Amino acid sequence: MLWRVYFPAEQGNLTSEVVCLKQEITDQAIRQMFQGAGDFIARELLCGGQRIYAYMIDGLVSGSDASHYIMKPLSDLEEASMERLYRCALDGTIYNSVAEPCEDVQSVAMKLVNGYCVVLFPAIGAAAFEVKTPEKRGISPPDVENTVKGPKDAFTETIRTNTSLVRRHLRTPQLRLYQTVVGRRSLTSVTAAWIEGLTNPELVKRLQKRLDEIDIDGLLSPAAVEEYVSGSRKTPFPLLQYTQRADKFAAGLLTGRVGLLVDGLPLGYLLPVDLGYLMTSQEDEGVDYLSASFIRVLRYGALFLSLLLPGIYIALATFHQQMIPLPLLRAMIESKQSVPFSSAAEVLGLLLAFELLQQAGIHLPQNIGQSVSIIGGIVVGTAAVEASLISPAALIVVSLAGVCGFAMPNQDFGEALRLCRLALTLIAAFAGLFGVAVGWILLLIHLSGLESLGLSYLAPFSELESAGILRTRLKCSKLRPKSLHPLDRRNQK
Amino acid sequence: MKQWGIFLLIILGGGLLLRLPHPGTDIAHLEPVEVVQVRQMQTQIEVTTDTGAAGHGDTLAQAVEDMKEHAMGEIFLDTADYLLLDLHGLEIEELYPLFRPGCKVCNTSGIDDLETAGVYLQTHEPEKSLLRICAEPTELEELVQTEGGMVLVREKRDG
Repeated sequence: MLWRVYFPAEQGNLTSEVVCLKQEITDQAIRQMFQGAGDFIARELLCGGQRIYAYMIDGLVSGSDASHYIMKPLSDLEEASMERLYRCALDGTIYNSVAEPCEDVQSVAMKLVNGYCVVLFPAIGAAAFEVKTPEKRGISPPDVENTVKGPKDAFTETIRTNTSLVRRHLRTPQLRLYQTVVGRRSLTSVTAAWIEGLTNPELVKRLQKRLDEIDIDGLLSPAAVEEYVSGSRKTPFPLLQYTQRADKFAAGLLTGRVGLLVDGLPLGYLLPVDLGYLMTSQEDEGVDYLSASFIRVLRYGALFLSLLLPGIYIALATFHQQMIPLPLLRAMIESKQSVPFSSAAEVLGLLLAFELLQQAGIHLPQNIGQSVSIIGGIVVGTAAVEASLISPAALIVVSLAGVCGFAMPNQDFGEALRLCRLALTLIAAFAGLFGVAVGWILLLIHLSGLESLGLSYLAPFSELESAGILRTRLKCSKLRPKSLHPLDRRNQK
Repeated sequence: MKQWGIFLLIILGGGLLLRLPHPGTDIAHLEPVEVVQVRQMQTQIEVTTDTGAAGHGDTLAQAVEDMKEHAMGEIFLDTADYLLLDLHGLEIEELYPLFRPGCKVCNTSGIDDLETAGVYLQTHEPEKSLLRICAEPTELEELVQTEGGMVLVREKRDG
């Protein structure tokens, strides 16, 4: 494989790309490549009467392993020619699980930045030995997708750890891991995962094509992955499903979906995605089908409440008061008498305050974030009601909508809902239930037009055979979703 | 071009929303009514509510308009549960567009304290609704003021 590498001299000038192919490997070329890099180590060695060079990046390699398993065996070699030294190094004198010859300076650079120690045998060649540092974050329980009974192994930032986690859940040799590098400067390793003989090859091809088409500086943030892989559609709704849980990722592959792992991101992505996948939680598989179905129905109820409640409240309070039962109307009017703001201003203000509070909670350290949420949500909210700045009904409506939004299993989806909720509330303030109905129809039109790798976003509601809302008994769900066109539809006898 | 089209559509939609015929009234400004009394005076019609609002006019619609004009808040007749009538010659159909079809109707010969009447009627609800008497004219019960309070008389009214 030939890598396209930017030299430091070309930094800041993307158009003057320098692609060096098969440049001869010399000490000077390697040093020039890492000129000015403080963590670059170049070591000159006298082995078997010959002068050779060892290179590594401090922090990426284990210094102790490099000394013990590479430099020491080389130093112990008896006098020999440079070619013999090179052959000995590759053929077993250096006992290392991965020993690869380097073809050119670019491959040397790639090996070095990936935690290899490269030994240069002048005029003969260079060999790379894997001595990666073991320093990495260990496998820990997921902090977003909590589980009671399920496995607690969440993805980490290291792609190899993540692929190993997937392999542990799916030991089938048909598990395919297509690895590529994305990002001109970040050179991020990206792995597409699928099960051969099960997953629709068209899905795999589409994903590979999209990965190959990505041409950016760095694929470092989740948003970059999501935008480039999903085709950057103009929508707040997620077109990829992220998960921290390896078991959920493996279960996704088993349904015939394609997975995506990105080095540096402690999560995996599953494609394609529809509303049904975003509304199901892996925890549903941890309880009996009746409880799971009940929770799912409740979740859909929460979806509607989260989206529509503030809008409907404003519409009723401003335009359609006759729809409110008299005792409730009286209570609402009484509570509103001393509030100086209109119902629309109250609800919109509270929704924005709710968003700000949430942002404050996210950006602060966890302990302080919790305090801010408590102070903001309970103390300020109660004080505002007591001071007659807002009415209790508006506070209850916004809080209820917020809580319902948090019941969504996918946070990206929850955020998209919040945006739509704000828009629906705004339109309700101008046009009442008519506006809510128009907004709802527009939202449905938008959702109907969305596709993820060719799968319609509303597929669960358009095809009788798809997952739907309820969780069926495992014994009865013998077929994989037809919408994914799996090669092998049957998942049990 | 497409973006300009979307932009224009948004502007048009926004404009249409702002020009909707019904501007809406915030709930805080509403004055919900539970009991409404409609009385036929000599030449005029008087409408009074349990909230103390009153209006006069040659027709029922004018009386209601007059009441709404002079009320402190926005009189909200859609919440009226009880309609007390003291009419001579006024067609009952005239009431239909102004009040909720489900509100209960009874006759009266003039009640001064409508708030107390509302409390009484909550426990002694008239049987007939406005919808029912419009569909099928029938005898109404009568709310009579007595020394100790009020009584809903279910027999036929004399005279």
